[in-house]
Amino acid sequence: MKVLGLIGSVRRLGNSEILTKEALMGAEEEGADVEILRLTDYTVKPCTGCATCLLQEKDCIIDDDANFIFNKMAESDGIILGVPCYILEATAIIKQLIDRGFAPMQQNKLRGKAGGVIVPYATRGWTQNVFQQTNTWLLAMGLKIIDQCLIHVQGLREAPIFEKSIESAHELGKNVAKAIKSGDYSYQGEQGICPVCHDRNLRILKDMQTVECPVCAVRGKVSLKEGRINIVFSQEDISRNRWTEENLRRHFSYHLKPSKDFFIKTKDKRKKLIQKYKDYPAI
Amino acid sequence: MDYFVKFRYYPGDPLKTITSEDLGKIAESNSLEISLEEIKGDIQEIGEKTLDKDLETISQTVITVSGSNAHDVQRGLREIIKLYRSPRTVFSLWGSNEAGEQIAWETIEQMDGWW
Repeated sequence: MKVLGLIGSVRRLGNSEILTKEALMGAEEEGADVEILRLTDYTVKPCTGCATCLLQEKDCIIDDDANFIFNKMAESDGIILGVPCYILEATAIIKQLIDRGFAPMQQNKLRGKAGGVIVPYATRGWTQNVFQQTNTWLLAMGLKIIDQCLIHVQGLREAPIFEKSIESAHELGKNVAKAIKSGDYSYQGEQGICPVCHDRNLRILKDMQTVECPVCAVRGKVSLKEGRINIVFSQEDISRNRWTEENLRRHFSYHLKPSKDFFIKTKDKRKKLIQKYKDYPAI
Repeated sequence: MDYFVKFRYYPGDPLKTITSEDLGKIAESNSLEISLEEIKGDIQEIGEKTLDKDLETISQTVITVSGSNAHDVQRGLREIIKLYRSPRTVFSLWGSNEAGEQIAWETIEQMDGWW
């Protein structure tokens, strides 16, 4: 059993690294072999939208370390990601890897692996979007998130002074390893609202009755019961979540790949309309 | 007919099964002509091959709406979207005429757009 720790912080031995290492120690107690990658030590260039992975069904052709990172993830049974929350969100390396995930998403190399996420942050109320990014990345890859925790710390290397934080990270590592060992991938973290990603963020749709998880696209019906918000997600709603193998395959097959034919069909019209933008000077 | 709209729903796109019965009621109450067509694509063991295929030939359910009154067409499209949600891609309207595409685009944005 191999568990890979991924650190999404530029700071060496910062709170993300400390907490990820603590989680890996927990995983080791359960018998895991561990390895760590500091994601920002590698070169991950932006996706260029060339669509080679989609329209030629190949690995990403950008010459950098993204394929190495995805291959390392594919070799592991479990992945623990430690990433700080800066201004409401995870650091840029996560977004970069989300965008570079088109090829591994289609190849399904990571599907079914266990995942855990640790997010150290400094100020309460400034973390709202962070799990949207980590979930988008890992669920798109097909990981099963076993546990995730938000850890309140302040400055550099302070995590060890908060005993509870260390315990939470350690427990998360154990939970990921236990899931791999037992094959029970049920979610062990704090229950949120979305039945798939467990985050608490929801969009209110225009009918003013339906809510939707912006990450998973699971829709639920809202009502008020004795002054409390009640949200019901049916099994059918849950099965529609965008991250199932079937739904992701449909997305690539029916929403993205046919765009090549549309592109060909609209060639003449596009050619006529594009000239004024070609002629417009760029700064 | 002044307005001719194609709604192409690919597998997984509609929130419920599209039926002629539902569409018949919408057609009748809005004085529209609405037809339904099921297309089966090149389904293989590993799934459907959709790359390098005409987008009209891949698996899809196509609702065709035609009418001569803009308000009727818009009302009908609203009812369709309310039942099934809107089609998911830009090319889902392929085959509509210009007036139909414009009205469909507006209706989709109003009902299923971000804001």
